[in-house]
Amino acid sequence: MNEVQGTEELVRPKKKLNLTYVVGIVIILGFIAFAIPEFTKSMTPYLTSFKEVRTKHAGETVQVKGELIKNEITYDNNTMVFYIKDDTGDRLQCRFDGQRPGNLDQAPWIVVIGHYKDGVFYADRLNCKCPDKYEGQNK
Amino acid sequence: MQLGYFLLWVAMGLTLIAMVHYIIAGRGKEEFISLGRSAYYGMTTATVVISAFLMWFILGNQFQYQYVSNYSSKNLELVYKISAFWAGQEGSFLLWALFGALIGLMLIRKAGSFEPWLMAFWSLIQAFFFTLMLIRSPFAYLNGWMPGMPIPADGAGLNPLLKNPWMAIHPPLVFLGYAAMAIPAAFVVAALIKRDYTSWANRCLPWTIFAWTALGSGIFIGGFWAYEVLGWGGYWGWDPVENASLIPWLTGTALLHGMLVERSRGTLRRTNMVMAIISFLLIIYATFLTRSGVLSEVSVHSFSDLGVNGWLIVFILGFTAILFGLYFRRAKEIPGGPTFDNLKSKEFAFFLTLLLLTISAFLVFFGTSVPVPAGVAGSVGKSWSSPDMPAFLNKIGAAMVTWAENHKPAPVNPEFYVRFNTPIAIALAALMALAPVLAWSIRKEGASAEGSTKRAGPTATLLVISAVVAAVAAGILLPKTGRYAPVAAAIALGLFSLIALSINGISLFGVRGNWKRMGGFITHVGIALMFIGIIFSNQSKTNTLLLPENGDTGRSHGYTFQYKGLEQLGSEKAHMKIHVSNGRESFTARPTLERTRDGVMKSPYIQVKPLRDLYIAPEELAVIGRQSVNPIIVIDDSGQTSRPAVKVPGTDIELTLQKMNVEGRMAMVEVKEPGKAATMLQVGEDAPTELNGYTFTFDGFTAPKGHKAMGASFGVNLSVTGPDAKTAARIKVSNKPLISVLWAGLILVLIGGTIAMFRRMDENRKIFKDDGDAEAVETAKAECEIHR
Repeated sequence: MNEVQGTEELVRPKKKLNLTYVVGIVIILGFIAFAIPEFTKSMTPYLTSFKEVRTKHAGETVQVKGELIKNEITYDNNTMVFYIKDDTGDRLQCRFDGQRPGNLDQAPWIVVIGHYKDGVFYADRLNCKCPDKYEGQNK
Repeated sequence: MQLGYFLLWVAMGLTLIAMVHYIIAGRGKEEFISLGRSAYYGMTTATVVISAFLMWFILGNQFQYQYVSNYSSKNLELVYKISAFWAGQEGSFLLWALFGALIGLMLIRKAGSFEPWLMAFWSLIQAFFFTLMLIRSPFAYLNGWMPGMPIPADGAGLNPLLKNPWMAIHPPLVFLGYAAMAIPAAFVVAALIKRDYTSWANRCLPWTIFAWTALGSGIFIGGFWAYEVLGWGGYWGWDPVENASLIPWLTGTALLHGMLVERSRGTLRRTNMVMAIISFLLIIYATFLTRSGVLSEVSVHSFSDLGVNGWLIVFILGFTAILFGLYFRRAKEIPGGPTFDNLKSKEFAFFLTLLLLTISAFLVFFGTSVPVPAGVAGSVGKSWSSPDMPAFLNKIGAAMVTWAENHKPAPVNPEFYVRFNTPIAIALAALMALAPVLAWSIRKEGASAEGSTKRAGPTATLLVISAVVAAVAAGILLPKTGRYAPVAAAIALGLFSLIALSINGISLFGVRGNWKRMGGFITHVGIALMFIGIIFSNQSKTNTLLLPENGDTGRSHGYTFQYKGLEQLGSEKAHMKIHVSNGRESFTARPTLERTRDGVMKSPYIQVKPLRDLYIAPEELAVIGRQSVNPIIVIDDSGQTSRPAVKVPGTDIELTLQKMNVEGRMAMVEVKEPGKAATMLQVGEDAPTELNGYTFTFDGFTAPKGHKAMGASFGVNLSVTGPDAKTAARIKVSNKPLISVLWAGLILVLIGGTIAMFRRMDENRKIFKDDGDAEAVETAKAECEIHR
C-alpha cells in the first residue's frame, strides 16, 4: 500500500538519452517562442496626451489617463458613453460595456484601457483611482 | 510604552532566543533543544496575548487606537468586529504571525530529528513578522491622541465591501495558506544542513497538501466573494492582488506533484527542493506586491505604503540568499534518483504536470511583475532624494524617480494570461485523464504497480479524437463565431475535461471502500468540473436595461423586468425592487446599492438554478428627462464680454449665465420661459434650486486652462430636471451558464485535498513512528512494503 522506498532498492533503467530533459526543454522553448511576441503585444503604453492616442497609438491597446467629465455620462443600449479630458482640455469620447465602477463619480481621474478607432475610444477596462480605497483615512 | 507594543518586543526577543538555541542544538548540543522550545512556547504565548489584546480593543470599542478606529465602529455586528482584526495590514501581519506560531507548535511535535534546524528557520520567519509589526504597530494611537484624553466616540467602521460572511473567512484562510507554505522551505533548510536528503519530502508531504488546500480555499472563496458581492459579473480578474496569491499556489501544486513522485520513486529530489524554496519566496513576494504600494497605479485594489517597503525588499533578498546559498553549497552532494526515460509512465505525467504548472506560475509572475521595477525605482528613489539623506544618494534618487516617471507602469492585458493559460489547461486536462491509467515505470521488480496501462491506449485515442473534433467543430462554427483558435481551444478543453472527469470518476469506484485513496481522484474530478464551469460561464450574455419606475418593462434572457422603486434600508443602503417574471415563474430581485466613503457599492441579485445563474447587477439610478447644460460667459480677445443664451434640450427654457462666484461655489443664472417673466436664479453646491416645476442642480464650473483672462469662456455645468422627469433603474442582466458546476468543482478540489492530507499523515505516522532512530524507520518502511 505504501510506496515509500529508498533509491538503492530501485531498478535503475539503462542510461540512455534522458527524455525528461529533452521533452522539458522542448516545452519550455516552445513557450518562450510563443511568449515573447504575445507578451510585447500585451504591453499597454500609458498615455496622458490624447493626441498621441489618436495618432501614434491609434488602433493598439493603450491605457489613457484623463479627468472624467461627470455630467455627460450617457448610455447607448449596453454601452456607457462618456468623455474624459486631458491636461490641455482635449476631450476624448469613450465607450464602455462593463459594469460602471461604484466610485466613478468620486474619482479625481480615471484610467481607461482599450483602443482608439475612428474618433472613439473603446474601453475594455476602467480603473478609478480614489485615494486609499481600502484604507480609510490611514495616513 | 504600551503593553501591546512592549509584548511585540518580548515576542521578537523570544523568537530570536529560540532561534539561537535551536541553532546551538542543531550544531550537536541536543540539550539546547528544550531551551529553544521553551523560548518558542514563550513567543507563541506572547503572540496569542498580543492577538487577544487587539481583539479586546476592537470588541471594547477602544477607538483611541488608530487600527480600531480605522476598521471598527460601535454598531458593527460581532462577526464583523472580529473580522476587523484582519481588515487592515498591521492586523493581517499579526494574524499571519499567530498562525505561524501555532503551526510551529505542531512542527515541534512532528518534526522529529528535523526539529532543531527546522525550528531555527521557523523562528527566523517569525522574527520577520515581528519586525514588520514593530515598524507598523497595530497598537499605534490615533494621531494626536494621548493617554488621559477621552476615548473617541466612534470609529470609521469596516469597509462595506468586507461586510460579507465570505470576506470574514477569506483573509484568514489565505494567511493560513501563506503561513503553511513556508513549511516546505523550513524542511529544506533542515534537510540541507543535516545532509538528510532523502526523507524531508516524505515528512513534508502532508504539510504541503495542507498549505495547498488552505491557500486554495482562500483563493476560491475570494473568487466566489467577487462574484457574489462586486457585481461586475466575474470571479477572477487577473488583478495583481489575485495573481500574487495564485503564483505560490501554482508552484505549490507543482511541488505537491513532485513530492508524490519523490515519495514513490525516490527521484526529483533537487527539483522539489528548488520548488519548495521558490514557493516560500513567492509568498514573501506576494506580500511585497500587495503591501508595498509598488502596484498602486496598475491595480483596481488599493494599497497604502506602510513604510515597510525597504524591509520587505531586505527580507526577500535575505531569504533568497540564505535558501539558495545553502542549496547551492549542497546541491552537488544531493544524490540524484533514477532518471525516467519512459514517456508512457505515471512519473512522466507527473513531471509534465510539474513543468506546466511551473511555466504557468512563471508567466503569471512575469506579467504581474512588469510594473515592479518602475514602482520600486520610484518609491526607493523618492526616499533617497529626501534632504536627510546624503547628497550622493539624493542624486541617484532623483535619477531613479526620473527613470520611473519615463517608464510608467505598463501592466499586461488580462488577455495575456488567458491566452497562455489556455494551452496549459488543455494539456493539464489531458494529463489528468491519462494519470490514472498510466503505471509507474520505475519500480521494484515484482512489485505490482497501481493501475494499469491497459486503459492508456483507449484513453489516448479518445483524447486524440476529441482534439480532432474540436479542430473540426471550430472550423464549422467559424462563420458564426468569427474566431477559430479560442473556439477550438474551448471545445478541446471541455472535451478533455469531460474525459478526465470520467476516468477519475471510474477510478473512484476502483478504490471504493478505501476512502483515503480517493483524495487525488476527487481533486481531479473537481478540477475537470472547474474547467467545464469556466468554459460555460464565459459564454455569458449581458443586456443593459433602463427601467422607469412602475413604467415600461424591459426584456432579457426570456424574462420581463419592471422596476418598482427603491426600498430604503437605512440612510445609506437601498434595494432596487425589480419584479421579474417569465410567465411560469415570477420573483422580486433586490440588487443592492450602498453609499460608502469610497463611492457606491453595487451588489447583484443572483437567482441560482442548477444549470445557470441569472445575474442582475445594478448599474445606476437614473433620471429620465434630466438635461445637462453649460451656460457660459465669453470674453473675447479685446476684453468684450458676451453672454450667449442656452436652450435646455426638450424644453422652451433659455438660460443665461450672469455671474459666477468660484470661491463661493455658486452662480447666478437668468431663466427665461416663454410667457413668463425672466427670473434670476441662484445655483450653488448646497442644494438644488427649484423654479416652475424645474429643478436646477449645480455640477461644477468649467474654466479654461491656465487662468487666461481674455479670449476664453467660463461657465457652469447644470442639470435641469423637468416636472415629468422619472426616476429609473439601469441594470445589467446576464446569465451564467453552469457556474454551479464551477463552484461544485472547487468544493471537490478542497475535499480531495483534505482527504489526501489525511492519507499522507496516516502513512507518515507509520513510517516515522519512532523518529530519529534510522533503524526503526527502515523497519517501518519494510513493514509498509509488506502491506503493499
